[in-house]
Amino acid sequence: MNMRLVRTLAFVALMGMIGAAACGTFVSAVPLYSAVMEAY
Amino acid sequence: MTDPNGQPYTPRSGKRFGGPNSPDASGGASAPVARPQSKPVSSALRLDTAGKKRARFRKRGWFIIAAATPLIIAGFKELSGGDVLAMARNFALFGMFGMAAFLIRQGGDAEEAYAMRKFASPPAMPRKMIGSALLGVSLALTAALGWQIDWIQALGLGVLGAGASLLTFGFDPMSAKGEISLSGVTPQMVEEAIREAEEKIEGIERSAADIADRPLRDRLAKITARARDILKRIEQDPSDLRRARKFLKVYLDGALEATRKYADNQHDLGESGMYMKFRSLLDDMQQTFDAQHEKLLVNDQIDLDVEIDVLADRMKHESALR
Repeated sequence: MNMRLVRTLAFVALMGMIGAAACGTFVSAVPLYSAVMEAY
Repeated sequence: MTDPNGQPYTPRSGKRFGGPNSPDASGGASAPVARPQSKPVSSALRLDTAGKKRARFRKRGWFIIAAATPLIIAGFKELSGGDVLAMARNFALFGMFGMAAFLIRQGGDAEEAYAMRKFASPPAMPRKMIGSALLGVSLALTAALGWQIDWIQALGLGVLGAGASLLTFGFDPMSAKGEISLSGVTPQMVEEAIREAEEKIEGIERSAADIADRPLRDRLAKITARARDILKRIEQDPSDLRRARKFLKVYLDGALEATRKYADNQHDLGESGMYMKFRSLLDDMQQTFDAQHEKLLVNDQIDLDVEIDVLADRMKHESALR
């Protein structure tokens, strides 16, 4: 398999993980979002 | 010169004018003007793989920081809610991501410098790997403390993140590079000699920048350029190291000392005899450096001559055996 493609996919996955953790932190910091998420 | 259709090349302006000296419409040009065919600039850029890699590294570093930006917004949100500790935690986590991106970028630069050289020792600190590990730790801490998911899940996320980072940015070079030459010169010897010489050349350049007299500065620039040529030759053929030892040890030291002293005292010396003395010293230095470079070139030629002679003798000998 093309190594460059693997690297790019790994980078996209990494961005997803960092983004998810950072956005998760943001969501839990905002009480409104937390309430909505809990109600959901 | 022909155009892409195989017709003789005729400038369009000549056709348009239609005067007595212009070529006729059938293409019977009086004197076709040669014009270099333009090539797209991208072909040159495509060859600069190191530059492209560096640009990719930098871009990806910024992407990491951009992906972690919600932490800053969350930090301000925590502050408006009155939770200073949570704010500090979010800012610290963002700082850790930034630090990891910075380390990975530094590691990429170090790897590039390693790749450019023929003889090199590995970077003192594996910054790419440390950066990837730090990225994993930051990810796990963000997931556990900020996102508030289970510690085991957060740990898994951290390990995955570190693995993805290692896969993306790769490992740092770990071993020394270069071959032992037939003359017994080891890669470490070459690397050390070149590093020391480069430091001296940089010292000469720094001192030269303080010299007010422009002709002297130009001469020194020529001398340092020639010294770099000599270093390049040594890197290409390490057996030259023995031949150039005197140049590396004595001449460069002398040049550095003289330049430094002159730069420090130039205002006191004025247009005195010292100026003329330094100027003639620079002339001598330039000649010596040129001679040294020439010597290395000639030696390479002799080496090649000897190799060709040996090969020719051997071939003659083998054909006689048949």
